[in-house]
Amino acid sequence: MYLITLLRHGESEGNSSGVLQGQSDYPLTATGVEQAEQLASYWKSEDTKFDLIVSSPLQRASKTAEIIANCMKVPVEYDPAWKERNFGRLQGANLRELDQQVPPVDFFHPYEPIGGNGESQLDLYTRACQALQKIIRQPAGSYLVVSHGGILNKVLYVIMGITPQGHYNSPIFHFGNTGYAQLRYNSSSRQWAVINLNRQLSHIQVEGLQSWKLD
Amino acid sequence: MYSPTHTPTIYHITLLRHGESQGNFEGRHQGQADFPLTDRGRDQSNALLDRWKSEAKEFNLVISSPLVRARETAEIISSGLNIPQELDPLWMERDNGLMAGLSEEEVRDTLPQPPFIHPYQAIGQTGESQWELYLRAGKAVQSLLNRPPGSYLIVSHGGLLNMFFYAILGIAPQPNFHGPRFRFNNSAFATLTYNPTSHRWYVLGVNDHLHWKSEEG
Repeated sequence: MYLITLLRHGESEGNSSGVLQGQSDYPLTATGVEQAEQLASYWKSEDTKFDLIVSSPLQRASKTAEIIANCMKVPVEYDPAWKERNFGRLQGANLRELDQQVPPVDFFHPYEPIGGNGESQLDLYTRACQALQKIIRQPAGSYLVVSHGGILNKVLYVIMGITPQGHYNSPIFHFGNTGYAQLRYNSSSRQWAVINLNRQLSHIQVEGLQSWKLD
Repeated sequence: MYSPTHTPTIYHITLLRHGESQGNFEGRHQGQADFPLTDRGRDQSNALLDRWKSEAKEFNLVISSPLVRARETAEIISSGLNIPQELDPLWMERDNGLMAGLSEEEVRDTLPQPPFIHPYQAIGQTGESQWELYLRAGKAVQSLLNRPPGSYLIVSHGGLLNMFFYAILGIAPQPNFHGPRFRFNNSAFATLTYNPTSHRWYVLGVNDHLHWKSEEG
């Protein structure tokens, strides 16, 4: 049995200033550090066990992972497969000004590189497949993944059997900062159970990436 | 910026599973067999009511399955928050045929256990197939979106709510109970928004039961 917890990083400087981050690298804010600390001590108090933490190397994720690893005494590995979507030339754009920078299109297809030279939805989906597969090829156990809203959405697609669609025709799974999803995979029956999505503990959560407009 | 509370064109949908019923407590396959809430089930519903009161939660309408475990849960919430309530049989649990009301052991002893179950196969010999349940969930989605945008609380059951998710996420029923299973604890809820101008479904959370600590985590 695999228990997989998918965690979005705490609030970053990019989140608080309303920037579309993608793979550009912003540190956690003081709030983000506090979110990670609160979650770590909650998990510790609940006697939650992780065998391994796998984190995106982007610092908003890696710092979140490090705080949890130190508190819970769990080893961490960094894997670039868990980085956020590459948003191409849109990276660093102000989310509030995006409407002006990116005129609305009649239709976009799932193979279209975002921001000119970024990852298409299908690129992101195939990366998510590979990232998940690496976890499933490890021995059964409890894994914590610390990553980002965009790619975690595609991991949920892979698990649920949803393929990327054109335009806005695919659902968005919201992850607040330090919001997490818990999933259980039974490798003998090959069944996935979604135990919860976007579980949040703290009332200091901040709305992050507004990817609903961009996906 | 995305701002659901200021946009009258958006649907806000909360999918709530009933509190613990006598059938849950006894570990029975309920289906459409009609078991009342236990005291614990009423406590769960009241804990949720207190939480939603403290969060100043608002709904325009509560729509409930007429099965008593859902209806009792819905009444606690709707009378506590002073919201109108309707009953609609579309939101009932799966008709599980001859399994209705039986324990795990009774099912094993009295009913054949087919080695392979395709999605068109009646469950419990005379019940709804997975595909029929999925189609009914599709009708439930449609009936909800025939209403004007607003904030709706649905009080229903784990099996039907799973197929509601399949219907909106684009997951087809699969054989042998494959396909993801969305956990709903007793009195746990999922929150969604739907934007009819972009056909965007937004899943804000699943199996939220912060008002009732669960032994299963």
